[in-house]
Amino acid sequence: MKNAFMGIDVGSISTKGTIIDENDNLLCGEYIYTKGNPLEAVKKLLHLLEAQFDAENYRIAAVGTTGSARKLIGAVLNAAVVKNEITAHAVGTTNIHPDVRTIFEIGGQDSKIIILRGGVVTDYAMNTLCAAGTGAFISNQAARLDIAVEDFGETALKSTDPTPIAARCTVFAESDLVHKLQIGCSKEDIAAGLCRAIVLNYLNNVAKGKKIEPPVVFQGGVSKNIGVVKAFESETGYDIIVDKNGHLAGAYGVALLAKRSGVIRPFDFGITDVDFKITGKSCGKCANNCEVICVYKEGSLVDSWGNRCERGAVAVGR
Amino acid sequence: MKIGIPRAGMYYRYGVLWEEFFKALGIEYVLSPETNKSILEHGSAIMADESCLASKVYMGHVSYLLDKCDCLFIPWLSNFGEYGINCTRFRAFPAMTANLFRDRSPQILTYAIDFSGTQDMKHAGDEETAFLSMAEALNKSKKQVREAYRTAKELSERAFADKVKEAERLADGNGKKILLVGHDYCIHDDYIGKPILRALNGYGVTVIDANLTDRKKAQNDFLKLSDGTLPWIVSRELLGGIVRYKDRVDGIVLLTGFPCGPDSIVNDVIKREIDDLPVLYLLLDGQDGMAGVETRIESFIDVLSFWNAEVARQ
Repeated sequence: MKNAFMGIDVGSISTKGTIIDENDNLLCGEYIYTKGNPLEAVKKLLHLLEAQFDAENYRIAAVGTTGSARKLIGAVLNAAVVKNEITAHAVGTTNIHPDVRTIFEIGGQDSKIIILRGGVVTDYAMNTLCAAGTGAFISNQAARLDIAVEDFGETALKSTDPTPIAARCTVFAESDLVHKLQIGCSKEDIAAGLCRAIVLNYLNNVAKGKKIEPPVVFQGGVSKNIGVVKAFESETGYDIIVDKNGHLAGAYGVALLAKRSGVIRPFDFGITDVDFKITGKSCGKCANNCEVICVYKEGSLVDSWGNRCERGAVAVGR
Repeated sequence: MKIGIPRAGMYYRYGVLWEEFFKALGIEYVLSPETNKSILEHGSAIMADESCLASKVYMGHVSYLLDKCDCLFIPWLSNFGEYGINCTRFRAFPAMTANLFRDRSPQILTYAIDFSGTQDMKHAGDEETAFLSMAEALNKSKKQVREAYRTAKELSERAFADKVKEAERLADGNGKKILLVGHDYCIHDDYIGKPILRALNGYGVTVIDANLTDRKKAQNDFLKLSDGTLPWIVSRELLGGIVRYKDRVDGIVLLTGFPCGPDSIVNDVIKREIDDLPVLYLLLDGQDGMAGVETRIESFIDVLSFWNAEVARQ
């Protein structure tokens, strides 16, 4: 029986999972939509991974979680490692591209730039309060243009004259877009204009002041959009590497971190039959009225967080 | 007469001075509690939407105090002469309070620091004259007010000097150190900045407050990062704090309440001028959830552990 390690990356839009062997080879990988329910998405993901998994020769020795729901899913899966997505992406990517110097990552609600030198992260930035120019933005605009989000990039490539669109703000971009449709711009040109606007928004905001040097790897759901990839290439002048498993980089990275942690916490796919419940309750013990998140396994509390002070602490009998 | 002091805005700079002043005169005062969600919600409801987080918090505290005191203490801290000016929103607090709460006709006790126009710009530190102007309203003699001011001033300067000394000691200490750059009313506000301080402390790093630097020296130090046209007194001091501490820390965290005019310029200066330290920029807007902030802090701590200036310059 050989050891394997699982990494789960639960983001706002998609949920990703990988299983690696002791030599960092990818044994299984899956990508599905979160659809607003991280717990259900993870259960579904685990079924898909289980179907690919060679349970006769491998056992999962430890699990790592990352992404915005990393804590929640980490509690449910009894993860050995719970790590932020920046570190997870950097670790995953440098394992595949050891010489990478810049990582662009555009996900559902976040966009990030990670600068690496000599294989370690030396700087990074993330979008601050605003999610303009992320995957959620593209999904919205694709819906408005009646283009399937998967076809958005190909549609953009058909354009000969991209329409200039302001993408600083999602709301403003929408009004701009409606106007451009009214004056007769083609869907192709608008799609291409949006791809370019996303790239300019990213370079002028998230990546502002960062020294972009090749090799540049582009990841996150938006990297599947060929229109955005081409726009990045023309704006930066560099080849943009999009790995076929780039969407799994975070999950792969956190699987590596689980392996490197040395912690052994065997995982059983039977967990998908266990009843988990997550509640977000207003504490009500003071004017802050914090939202305290509680995770229940078979009716008993296994973890809680979210309180700003001791008043909201929920005693957990582990 | 009971005075109400909002625990917000420039209270974080002048709190000791103000409280000791009223104590010395034997005047009763009430201080609003630490900011909480309810205070912020009241402030957000009354302030114009596009105002900054700090001014929403401020008006929340004013709103809290309205029926708990006879008179609100809202100094008009506008122009400090050669030391720089305050931001526009803060300069407007006395007038804004009178206007926003006009249905309640609040009594406002104020003193003016305004060395604009024809006055001698060299006497910007002359708070004493400003305090004396309150004698009549407080029903005290000028002599009593002068003595109370001098006592309070000495105590407040000593308290600040002690804090600076402690910050210097922390900066000279071992372990991972982070310089936190932000307005003190953001950093030290229980609802806004404290959760971030706690998160940073939770990772075992020492946090040094960039505000804690000798203010006179800062007026020269800031010129190493900016030219002399930078108008805001606190921004100058924060840049001065960076000059003072940057070679003794492992990273810088910029904390800004959204939207802050001065910070939008100063943060850009910092990002351009500081290339030998990792810098994290956190923009806060009274979000309920801490998840986004936690992700950013956790990854920044990771970066600090990998950081190596030699490697970064490759």
